[in-house]
Amino acid sequence: MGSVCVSVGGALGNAPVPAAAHATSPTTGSELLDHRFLLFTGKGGVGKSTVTAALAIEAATQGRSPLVVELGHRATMRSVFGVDEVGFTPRAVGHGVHAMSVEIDQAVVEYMAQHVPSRRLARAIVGNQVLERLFRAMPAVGEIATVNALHRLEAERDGRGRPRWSPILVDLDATGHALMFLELREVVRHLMGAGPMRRLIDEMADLFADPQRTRLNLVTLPDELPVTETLELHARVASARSVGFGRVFVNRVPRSGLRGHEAMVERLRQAAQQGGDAELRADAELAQRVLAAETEARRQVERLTQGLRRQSADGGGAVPAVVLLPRLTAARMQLEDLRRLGRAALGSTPTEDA
Amino acid sequence: MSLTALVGRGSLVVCVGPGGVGKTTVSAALGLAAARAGRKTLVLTIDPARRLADALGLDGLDDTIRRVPLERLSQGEGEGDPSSSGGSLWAAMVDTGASYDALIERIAPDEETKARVLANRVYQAVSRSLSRSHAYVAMERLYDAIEHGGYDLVVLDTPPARNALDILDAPGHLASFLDGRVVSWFIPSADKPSGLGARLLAKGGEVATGLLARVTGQTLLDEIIAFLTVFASMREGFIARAQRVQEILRDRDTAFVLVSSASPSSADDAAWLRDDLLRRRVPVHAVVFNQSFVPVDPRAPHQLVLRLPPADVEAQVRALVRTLDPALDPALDEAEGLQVAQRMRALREEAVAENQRFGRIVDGLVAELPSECHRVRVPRLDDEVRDLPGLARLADLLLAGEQPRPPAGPSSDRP
Repeated sequence: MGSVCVSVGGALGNAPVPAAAHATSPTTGSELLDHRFLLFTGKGGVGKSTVTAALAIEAATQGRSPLVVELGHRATMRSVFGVDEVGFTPRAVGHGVHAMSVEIDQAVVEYMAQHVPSRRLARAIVGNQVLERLFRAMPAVGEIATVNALHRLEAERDGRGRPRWSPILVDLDATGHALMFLELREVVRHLMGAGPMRRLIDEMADLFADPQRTRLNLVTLPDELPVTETLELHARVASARSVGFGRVFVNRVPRSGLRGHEAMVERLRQAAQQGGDAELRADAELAQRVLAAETEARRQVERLTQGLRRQSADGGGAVPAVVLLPRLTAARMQLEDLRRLGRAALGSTPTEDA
Repeated sequence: MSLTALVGRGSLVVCVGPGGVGKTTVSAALGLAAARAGRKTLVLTIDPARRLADALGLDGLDDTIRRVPLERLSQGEGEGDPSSSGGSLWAAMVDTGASYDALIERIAPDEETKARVLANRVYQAVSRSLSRSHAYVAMERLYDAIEHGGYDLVVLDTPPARNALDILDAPGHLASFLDGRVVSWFIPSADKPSGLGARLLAKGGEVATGLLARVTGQTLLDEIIAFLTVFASMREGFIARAQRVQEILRDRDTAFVLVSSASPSSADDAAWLRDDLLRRRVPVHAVVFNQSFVPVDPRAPHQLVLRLPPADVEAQVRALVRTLDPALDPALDEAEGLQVAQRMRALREEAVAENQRFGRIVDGLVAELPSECHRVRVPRLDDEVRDLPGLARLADLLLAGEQPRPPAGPSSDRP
């Protein structure tokens, strides 16, 4: 399976890429990378961080200056890029990519430092145990401070006045996290009068809602539950219109390489059973399971594509492109695998299917 | 403690792990195993997935604790009905908003306080929308179930990866949030300052209030103060329960089960959780590696087969085509048969290689844990768990897939 699964083009070429979805897609190829913010979300364990990293590498290859921002202490980028530490300050992680990790506590310190008139006072407050406890316990504070950190990154400019980071790829962790971010304005609407915090949230909500500047990308698997949750998230976000959609990545699409040969597989299985060839029989039975998984994956991709089309029509929006990514079987992904994945994710690779 | 002992004798099992590894399903299967062992068991899940309700044979899963109709198991595949052994399974989903409201209903000292809390916008935001709320309410649900539910065992499913251990922090966070000193900063009348230190604190409170107003705007600050004021009246109860839950979580009848898959990214997250648990001196009793190997031999579906005997595919196919199916067109079908047989072999070798890689990941994750920690490997199932018999099969696999920690080296992982 090795050569097949690592060959991105191969898997893509064989997969039922929904042509209609591509045709109405708002962004194709590297246009996606022109946005200021690319947000990524999906259920845990679907390979969101890998897709995010792969797109960042592809952006760097095209001469851009991508920054990957992961939220919280998952340290996934550290292991994807094989570096010792990814912290609150952006650092080069190789291949032209920078990465950082937004820790809530540090983001709160930064936020306070920006909004308190004197630095000395800010440090005194942040160092104050009672206030620190208050901030730890107040649920909204962490989220607002994170938005503040993203705002600061967006505003950074290089020597010639161009954005320092382009694009900023945000790994939003689980689905609930993404919704919380996109709905923060609604959450605090009745809660906050005019003030710097409200201005910040409004500004970021406008930026996220502007399809010229921000796209939300969904990462999923070709299984029933992840597809259902992806469709639910799409419906909710499409009706709230809090963000424009980029692409929907279906990760780890299995490929047996035996489609069209089902009858021969069964024939060999029966022959092996009759002839007492236990090894060949085991081969055939495993192949039948892989074929069944492949068929089920195709069914789920079809359900996803149809659902997105229907929901987009209901919401009056463009249909996000569905991109199929192959199942990579390496224990630790190699750089070349990530590059292939990134090219496949942008649809800018010629298919290499044999 | 082995999983069998754990579901048979433990009083609280907390399942933690990264997202997407089937943690909620594993939690439900452990609960089912306990019920079949004759125990009155509650599964508190956080996953609103319709599929889990279906798997439990329930119309829906929400904040209300429901009895799982285990009698349906006996109609299925000849499984014993656990209710005949005195066991029962109950399930509820922790719905943050609804649970908070129920909590306030229960603990508010009077109608007026209750109305003021429910109408407070800080309360509404805290209880419904924002991420840390879940841990508070899960803690309260846990307290209620353990102190008043009369269950032999409670299985608690936690949010994925990075929020999983909030349940350990939440009682502390809450206690400090409601700490008298913090409250008195914002409500000068709560505790009259006396003495120089207290007066200085009150002075500090004025400064802090002014700064917060500057940052958040006055509206939010007013609501926060109102929130703290009404909560102050209930704080003794909160703090007492928070302390009790901390004790329960640290009790020796409480077991933490780390659930992971064997994929590299899940294992990375699981390793982070493992280290965080060790740092907090919370013992990990078992690690469940769900979907952590591909059954490659139908004769022994539960075994890890880490090496395949060599095969002369060409000779196999020629022999089969000639002897067993003379009706085949030898020229055409032999070529296709050979091609297909080679591809089938490659698929199986790939599966074996994947099992080996998974084995190394499993070993890496377990190596840092103490030797009494059990590891359980569950094969990748072809079907998702959709009904009670499916859940029962997973429960069987969980209890059967148990391997005590090998004394040295990964080799004893081999069958």
